[in-house]
Amino acid sequence: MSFEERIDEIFERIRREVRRFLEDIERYFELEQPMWCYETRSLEPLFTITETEEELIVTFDLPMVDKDSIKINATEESLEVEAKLRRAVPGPRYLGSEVCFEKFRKTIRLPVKVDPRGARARYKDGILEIRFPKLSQRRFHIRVT
Amino acid sequence: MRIIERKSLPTEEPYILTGLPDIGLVGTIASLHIIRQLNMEEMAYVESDELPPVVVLHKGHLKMPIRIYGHDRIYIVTSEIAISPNVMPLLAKNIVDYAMSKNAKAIIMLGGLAVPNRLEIEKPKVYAVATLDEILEQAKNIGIEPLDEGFVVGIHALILRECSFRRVPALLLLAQCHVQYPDPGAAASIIEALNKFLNLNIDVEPLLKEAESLRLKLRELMRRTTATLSRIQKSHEYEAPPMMYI
Repeated sequence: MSFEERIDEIFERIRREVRRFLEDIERYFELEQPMWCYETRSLEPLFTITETEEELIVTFDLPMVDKDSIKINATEESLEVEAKLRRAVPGPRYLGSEVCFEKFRKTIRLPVKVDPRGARARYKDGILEIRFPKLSQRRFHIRVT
Repeated sequence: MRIIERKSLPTEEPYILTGLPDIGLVGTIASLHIIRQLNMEEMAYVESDELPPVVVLHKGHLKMPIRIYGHDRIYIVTSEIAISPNVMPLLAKNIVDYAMSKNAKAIIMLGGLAVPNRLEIEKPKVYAVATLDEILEQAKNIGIEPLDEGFVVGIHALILRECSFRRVPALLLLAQCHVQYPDPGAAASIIEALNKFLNLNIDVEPLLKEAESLRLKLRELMRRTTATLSRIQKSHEYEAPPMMYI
């Protein structure tokens, strides 16, 4: 291995470590947030974001919800999902016996810009899947004249 | 780390099951259902300075987060907290030590196998990984397919490795599941496979009926487990050589 290659390898390792460190910090702060909001009487759903070359796919785990109660609002950079629970779920007892959660609610900042008008959503087995076409990855055919 | 035993089953050569938090919380959900259905009794718990400072309260009773239950010829290890990577080797070693001290017939781990198309799968399939050919043959004979290729990462990998070194019969059952969502459907498939393997008759209907409320209750554990798993997989990914060089 040449000297330049070794230097490249060392820098790549440093980049990875810094990335991991930042991800750990992000995760730590995320984990410290409760998964419910007392003020809005809402629960935070689990969600995942995956990307393909052309799409951004966001899924939410929304058990105990009817399809018709799901509301989705999106911009090019954010997504907001709200869904009413079929029945109110009691909160932890120490919050008081009258505290019940009635809905799921979550707003997320999307990692890439998307076209919200081209989005498709489906709800199956309690999982909501929303597919957005990526704006940056949109391909246009250009004719050579 | 040590396992503090309160009681012991009179049986010789018991099976040691593990249902620890992992992908889709399959093992956790399955173990909770098995404990409830078989009306299992608490036998032991795991004590360690390495564990997070957490105790659990159930109906006002104090419990340790990693516990072992027993009934008839079965012990089952279950955990209500995500197992952090630094605790995994110690826990794996302790579980295998415990199994050996009981002269266990086999260690059977219940876990999940992440599949991206889980939403399209009606009934998750169960795969097997074993330390000894005989035990894999037994699984094959009852229709459980062996997992031919792939990585096993985390606590199951460590238990399998420890069992391999010590020639302890161990079987890992993996049901197709969601990666980051609690998957009671996958847990039901695992229990059905276990029913066949151990000749049990655990009803999975109640589990499927309460699937939605379980998914709701287990969100927090799932989130913490996902964070732990992504840490392991990341480091594994960084350290693993590209396949083409193997």
